[in-house]
Amino acid sequence: MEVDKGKGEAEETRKVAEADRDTVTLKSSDGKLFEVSKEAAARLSTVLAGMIAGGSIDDNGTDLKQIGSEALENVVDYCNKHANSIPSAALISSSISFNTAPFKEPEEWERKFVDRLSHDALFDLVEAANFLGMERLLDVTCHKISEMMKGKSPDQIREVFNIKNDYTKEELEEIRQELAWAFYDD
Amino acid sequence: MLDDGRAKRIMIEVPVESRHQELPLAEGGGGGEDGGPDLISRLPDEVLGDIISLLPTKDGTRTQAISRRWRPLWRAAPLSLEVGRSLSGQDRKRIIFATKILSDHTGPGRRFSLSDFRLRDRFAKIDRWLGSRALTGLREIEFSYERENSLPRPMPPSALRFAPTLYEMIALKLTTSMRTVKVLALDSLPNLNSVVDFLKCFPCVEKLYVTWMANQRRRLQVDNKASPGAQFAFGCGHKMGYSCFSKPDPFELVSHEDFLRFMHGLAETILRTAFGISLPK
Repeated sequence: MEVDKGKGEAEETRKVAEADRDTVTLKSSDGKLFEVSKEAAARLSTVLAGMIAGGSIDDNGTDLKQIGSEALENVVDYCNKHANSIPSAALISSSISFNTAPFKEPEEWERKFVDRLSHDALFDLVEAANFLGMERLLDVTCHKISEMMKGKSPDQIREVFNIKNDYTKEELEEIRQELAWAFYDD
Repeated sequence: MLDDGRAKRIMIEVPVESRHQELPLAEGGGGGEDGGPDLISRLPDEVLGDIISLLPTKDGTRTQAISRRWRPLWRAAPLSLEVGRSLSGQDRKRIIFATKILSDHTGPGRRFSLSDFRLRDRFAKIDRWLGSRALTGLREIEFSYERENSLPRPMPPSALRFAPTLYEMIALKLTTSMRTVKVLALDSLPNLNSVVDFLKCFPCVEKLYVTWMANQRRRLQVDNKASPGAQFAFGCGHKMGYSCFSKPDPFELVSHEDFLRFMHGLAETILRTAFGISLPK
């Protein structure tokens, strides 16, 4: 009994220590550990916020089985960069405008952040952001993909993203006729 | 607030099968002609929808011709409709295309923009547009009519149905008080005293944002009785990218601290409701 009680207390102390930590450790599908600021994680990811609030964060690395180490590294990198980029007064006056739209244009650093990613890494990051409920990162990555599609014909888009054209000739002709207005400039 | 955001995202993720399209393994793990993996088509519908919404109207529509996987996406992706030169160089065609898009799309609406619109006798038409299903739940609306006609032009009455969901609104004239507005921007006020009276139409305003002509710049005496609990902020305009309004006049800075606090509050507000409304001159 005595021993059990002691254990309980130790457990309690450990939990308190955990709660006091200002970082959380995340574990990728391939077992790599990453540390990220608790504040940034909770602010940028609804899923991590929920886990932190619900106490389901593991001190030895919270398992994120759906996310590979490269994508998780980018997620953590994004969180840290985001945490550092706010909130200087200069930034506030130059970038947060009153007319902030739901899909606010990415800031310069966010643009650079996604621009350096390979095709594969970009899509892994989109999936990770979606999985973790990271609205802003999802916006930024989706924006990047939309930039890659902008002004391109369906043929060109298929080529960029390796999409197989599974329409028959007849089907495609039908669609083109239906959407004729969208295929020509005037 | 965070839970709300999460709930929203999870709500639209329902049927697992349709969310995640498996790669056609028979094609050697890739969809493209050269065998590279088709990573984009694996994304969940709602993410692809977000991407389509970010495209210019025409480009977004054309995504239906990419592949079978893409065919149904545009119709249900939040509609971003810009009735301007990007839609067609010809005024008459713009009207035809916009009408067609609005009848084809099932909604919801994300953004509707009518720029330098030649109103003529089309007021009833745009009122009907705004009433269409495709724009349900609209988040942003932007209006500007062609300037050659200097008569004040009202917002079409159907625009009022968006009041609960709108996040951003730029209009030429206010027709009715929108009683639920929490953040209000007033552009190019002719007379600051009118603000106080005007605020009585907006009992829920928590944040007010004001621009005015440089030669009329002076401090606004705020009567708190007009809108109890309201928070007022006047920022410096130069660096703010306040580009959606036609005249980026400087804002008066009442207190730097207050302003920063206001901007912080705005950045952190998940709802981020913002209205920009010009008073009739």
